[in-house]
Amino acid sequence: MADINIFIYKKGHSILHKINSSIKIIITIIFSIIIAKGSSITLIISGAVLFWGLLHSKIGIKTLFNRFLLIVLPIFLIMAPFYTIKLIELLLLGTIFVGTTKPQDIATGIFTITRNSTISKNLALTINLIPTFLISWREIETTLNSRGIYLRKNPFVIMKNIAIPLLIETFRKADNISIAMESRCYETKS
Amino acid sequence: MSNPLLEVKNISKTFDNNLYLDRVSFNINKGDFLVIAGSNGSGKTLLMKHLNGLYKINEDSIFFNGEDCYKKEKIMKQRIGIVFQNPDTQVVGLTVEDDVAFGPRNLGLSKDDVENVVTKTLTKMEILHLKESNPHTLSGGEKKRVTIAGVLAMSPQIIIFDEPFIGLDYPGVIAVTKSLLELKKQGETIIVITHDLEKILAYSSKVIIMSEGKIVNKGSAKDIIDTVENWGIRRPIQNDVKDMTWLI
Repeated sequence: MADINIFIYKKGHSILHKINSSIKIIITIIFSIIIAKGSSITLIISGAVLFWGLLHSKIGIKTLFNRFLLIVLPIFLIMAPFYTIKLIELLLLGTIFVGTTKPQDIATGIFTITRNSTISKNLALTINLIPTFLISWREIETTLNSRGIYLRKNPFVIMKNIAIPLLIETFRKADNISIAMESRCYETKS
Repeated sequence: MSNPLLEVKNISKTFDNNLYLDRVSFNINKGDFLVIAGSNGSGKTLLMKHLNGLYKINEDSIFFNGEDCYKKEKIMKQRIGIVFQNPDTQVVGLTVEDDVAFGPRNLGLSKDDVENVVTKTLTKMEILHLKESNPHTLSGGEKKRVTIAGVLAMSPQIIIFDEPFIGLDYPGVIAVTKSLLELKKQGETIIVITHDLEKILAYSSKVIIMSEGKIVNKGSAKDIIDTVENWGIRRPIQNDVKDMTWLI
């Protein structure tokens, strides 16, 4: 399970953990826009802030060393360095936000801003599904490896061989999760 | 004579003109430990989903304490909790505490009440030390306990366990069996759905055997033990039911 570390809440007592979730959501949105629209200087400053955030929240630098990212990002970095840096910073921002905010607090924060319980709960549950998605990825990858298909060597083969089984498996699990949630009195209100 | 806690009367279900449940009827009293056994596709899981309100039921088909449950799906979900066979698809929280709190929050409990009920339930299931852990990183037995805690936190009056031993190693089976027996000792009403009779038959108060959507036999463990192989269920190797009390 060591690889399942990106976009997962990690308990802590840092300032970032303590900020109100609604404020954190607004800051995250503004920060995302700054990164997306930013120039080189803005990216350097935002990169430094995010690096501080990563260290301060003690999420750990290892969080970013996900196998998928290690394969895909260098390719992107060669093809389009400026946009890849933006992508890395956005991933870092998302990781810090999710890593310092409990899923229930995310839902509460979104509800405070939007006053819509359906949006807030569904978004929180989508975040909750990420570990399940990553577990499925790992299982499919292991199965393929056992049949002599080694994904790490070619990222395009990864996408080709893994996408269909991963989608089928994820939909099946999502269906089972929704049944289990419904059995525990979860309901969406329109 | 008082009403049974749960009364099921003639539940039938068809999909595409195929009959999957055929006039299923039975009663459960408070404190019962009911085992529903049957081979794959016998309708056990479908029946369980009807009891929990996941499928719509007809009028006069399920009574809880004498009260008709027709159009009361939410109440049924709270009163009859399900522990599904695969904990990975039941866990919805990123921490054990968050997952156990999911049901009570959906019931509209206040923040303090949710905290109290979570602490109480985790203590009861002896997993309070795992409160901050990511449930996806726990062992099979621990994950199962988390899912049981998630259901118990909603204070159901009946708990259904769907194939509780599937995918567990020996220590996991022991941990889950101990949890079941502990709950039984505390007076909880339990339904275990399984085809693995050997592990649980000795502790049951009633057994129902299902085949092709019908109840084909019911009674005490002693009454049904010699007929189970007729319905595609492996007969435990011990001859006498009392010899099957392997754990306690």
